[in-house]
Amino acid sequence: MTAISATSVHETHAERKNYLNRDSSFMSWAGTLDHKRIGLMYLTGVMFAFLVGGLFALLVRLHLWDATVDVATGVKSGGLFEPGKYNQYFTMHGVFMVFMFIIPAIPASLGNFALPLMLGAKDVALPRLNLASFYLWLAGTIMAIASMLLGQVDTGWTFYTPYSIYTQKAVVMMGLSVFVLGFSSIFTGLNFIVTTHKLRAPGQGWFRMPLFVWAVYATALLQVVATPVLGVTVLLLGFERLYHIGIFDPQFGGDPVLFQHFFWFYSHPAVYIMILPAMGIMSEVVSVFSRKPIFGYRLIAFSSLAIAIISFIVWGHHMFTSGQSELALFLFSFLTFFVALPSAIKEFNWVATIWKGSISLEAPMLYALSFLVIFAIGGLTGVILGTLNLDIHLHDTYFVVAHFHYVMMGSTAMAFFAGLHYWWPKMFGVMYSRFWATIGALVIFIGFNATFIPQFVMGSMGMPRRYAHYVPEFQGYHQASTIGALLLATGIAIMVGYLLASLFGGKKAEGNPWGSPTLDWTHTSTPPVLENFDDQPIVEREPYDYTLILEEAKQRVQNA
Amino acid sequence: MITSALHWAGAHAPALLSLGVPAAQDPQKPDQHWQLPVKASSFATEHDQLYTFVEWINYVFFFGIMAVLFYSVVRYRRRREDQPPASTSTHNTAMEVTWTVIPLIVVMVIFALGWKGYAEMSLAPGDSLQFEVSARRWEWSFKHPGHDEFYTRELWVPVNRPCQLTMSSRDVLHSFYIPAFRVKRDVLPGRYQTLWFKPTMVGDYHIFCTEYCGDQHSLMIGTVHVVTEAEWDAFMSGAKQPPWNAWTGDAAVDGKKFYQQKCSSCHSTDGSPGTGPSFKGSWGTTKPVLDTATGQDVQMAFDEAYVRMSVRDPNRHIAKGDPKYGPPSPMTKFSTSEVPDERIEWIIAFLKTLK
Repeated sequence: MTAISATSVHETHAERKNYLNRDSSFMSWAGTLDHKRIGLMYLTGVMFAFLVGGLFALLVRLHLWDATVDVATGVKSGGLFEPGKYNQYFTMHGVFMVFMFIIPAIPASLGNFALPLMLGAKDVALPRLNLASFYLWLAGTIMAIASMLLGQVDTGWTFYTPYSIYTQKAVVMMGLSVFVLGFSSIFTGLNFIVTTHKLRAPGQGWFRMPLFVWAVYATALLQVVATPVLGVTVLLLGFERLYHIGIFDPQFGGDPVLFQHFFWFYSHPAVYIMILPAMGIMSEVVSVFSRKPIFGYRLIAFSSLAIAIISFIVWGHHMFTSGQSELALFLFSFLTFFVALPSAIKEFNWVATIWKGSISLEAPMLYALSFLVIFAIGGLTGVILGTLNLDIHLHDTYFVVAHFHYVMMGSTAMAFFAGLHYWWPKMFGVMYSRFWATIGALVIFIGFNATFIPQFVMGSMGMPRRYAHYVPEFQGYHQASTIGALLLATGIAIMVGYLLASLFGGKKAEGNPWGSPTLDWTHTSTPPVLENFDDQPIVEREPYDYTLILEEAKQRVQNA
Repeated sequence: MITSALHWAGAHAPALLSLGVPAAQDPQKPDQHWQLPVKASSFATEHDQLYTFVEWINYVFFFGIMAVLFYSVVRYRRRREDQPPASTSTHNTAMEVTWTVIPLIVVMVIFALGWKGYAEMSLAPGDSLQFEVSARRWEWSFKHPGHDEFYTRELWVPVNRPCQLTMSSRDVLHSFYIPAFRVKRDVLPGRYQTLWFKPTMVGDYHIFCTEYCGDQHSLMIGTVHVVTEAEWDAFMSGAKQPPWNAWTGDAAVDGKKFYQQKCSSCHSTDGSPGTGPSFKGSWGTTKPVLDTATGQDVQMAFDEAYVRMSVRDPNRHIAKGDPKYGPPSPMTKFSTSEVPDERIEWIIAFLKTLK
């Protein structure tokens, strides 16, 4: 095959062994160099981390159903756990969700699976590094679980000094776990950069790459450049605890705020490590289910890069109350508004893509529409937080908690679900129940908003975050939020349920069920074979050209 | 023009917004925004105006985007399998420039207003009353003007007078937050941070710690009492005894009050576990402790000398029984300005009453 064509090749290869069933021995998985199998192992891993992190979130929310404190006496009442336990649970929720789920979720699972397919490549450029990256993730996760079970870390996922130096918990072990997970992330990023540069199909210039590739590429740059700073920071924290080197500990002349600068110098770009690949999925899903070329392709591609660059110079907005100079605050607030723009532009472009499209409300699109609503709220509340004197009041309250859950959970996880539903038939060759997928998406959307809208309001009313007990006037908001969390958990359970059910007796998927124009769907069988393509595909069209998809659909209608 | 728009929004939006939430309105505080606490400082007014202004801009953008989105989904829904899109346009430079430039202008205006508000917060008037704040796990202590002893968990300030707080931490990071005043500042060990405000309404308001500081972070709360200027002047002139210095002269009674300020967050009196050992029935007993000077486990009598040593050098003898007690001891080493010698005697008098 020399020219790109929408004709699916799956029928020709119907009886051929695909990447899933060609070998089922344990070592064929554990030692695999196939990017698709590594992607699936990552997918299993990050979903496990997501469910564990979610269980901790539920414990936190159930505890807060009735856990009050009397202001006059400082006496607490109610609550399921002692404050020390509560602090461990929210720490574990944060650590699992940030380091083990949301950072690797999209690039390492869906990115691993789809990136070579979209580029017309047989695999990633460095398959062994890819497998090493997965085992580092596994090692880091086991270390984190060990420090959780044995060491009861209670520092929050941010490990702020000097508390993290003084607390008698397994902070060093947890720090090493984050260090190892960081290298897993660096390896993935490095691999994707090389793959994107070197393995694009003939004819696939930079502006013929699907936007998911652009987004994963921009993410990979961030992973490689920013993550080492986190690695160095947690090592310094470990040295401070073990040898009192006096860099962060004020008792030895150190500066605890320096830790915050180091930490956010990584962790702000990390926010974009989480959201950029989600934006990439959005560009794919919105275009495919509107059957319309993405609106403003170049603007979206460049805004991915713009976000990646600007994200390095806004870290100080996490520290508006920490005592930075007025000049620093002025600059960080100013720059923060600039990082808002590329995100807004992307939202406008997606809506403009849907405008006058041919809209199909399949499950991936439902999750994508959820993203568009939630991301708008997450972004606009970010504008409130970027405003200096408003942030002084809102900093470290539930308003911030709600804001970043709208961006991290509501947007990134929702796009992850959209991508998961989009590539699910390609991954496993089966379809999930359309009915249950619709119900699941709706319950998750309602549950999510019911959880976090009350948190916005109680935050702006002055409810501080990380409180095991609260003053009684916040109880109504907390209870509303807990009910929302239970609904959200129900939605997630429905989703996990129908996805798993589809693996056992789900309907066989068509070759290109959504009518996608990109190489991953048009030129591979479903599920793909080992090394993906029989011949080297050649790209002769723009990435979102639906001419052939429409012709095929027309023929199907005529034949029927 | 922007300022007048701001004032208009500030004046009208709360009334419009409150239609859906009548319960949030309090007749005594007629212009309280339903998402924000009462306004009790000069910053609160400006803060709430800007908040309302940004909130309305957000509503315009959000509902605008949603209207286009949901109209499109309904109007252009795919009804036949081969339905082509109604348009295949891939870009429109004029439109893309418009939706880049308009948000840019809007956010620059918001930035400038936020900076203006912050600039006022960063410079205290020269005639501000001076307070000192000392933070430790898990209590706030305040030194009022003209009085050189710290008082815990409660702060008194006069209405309509600027007050400046100079704050420092004894241990980890804390953050001083009064929602009703819209002020917040991290409190750091080994460094001084300042914060100022001018209260505008008499009343009692919450003080929270908003930087996570360990086990009882959420119990590190307090109250700021805004009193009338007349009452404040009476405190200052001595015409009325200041509440931060209202001791009875009965050592056991004052000791109990002092215990509630300094000790109760870690040491219970009913035997329940805490960060430190409970005081219940301790007095006069003999306890096993680790002497950190020699590394030996020894038996110590719980007497006057032991109490005094525990206050001045808590890391010397560590009670056995719970790894939380240390070593190193998590207890603050109290100086004579924080816990004067006669206060130790009060505590001893109180401990003797505990059976």
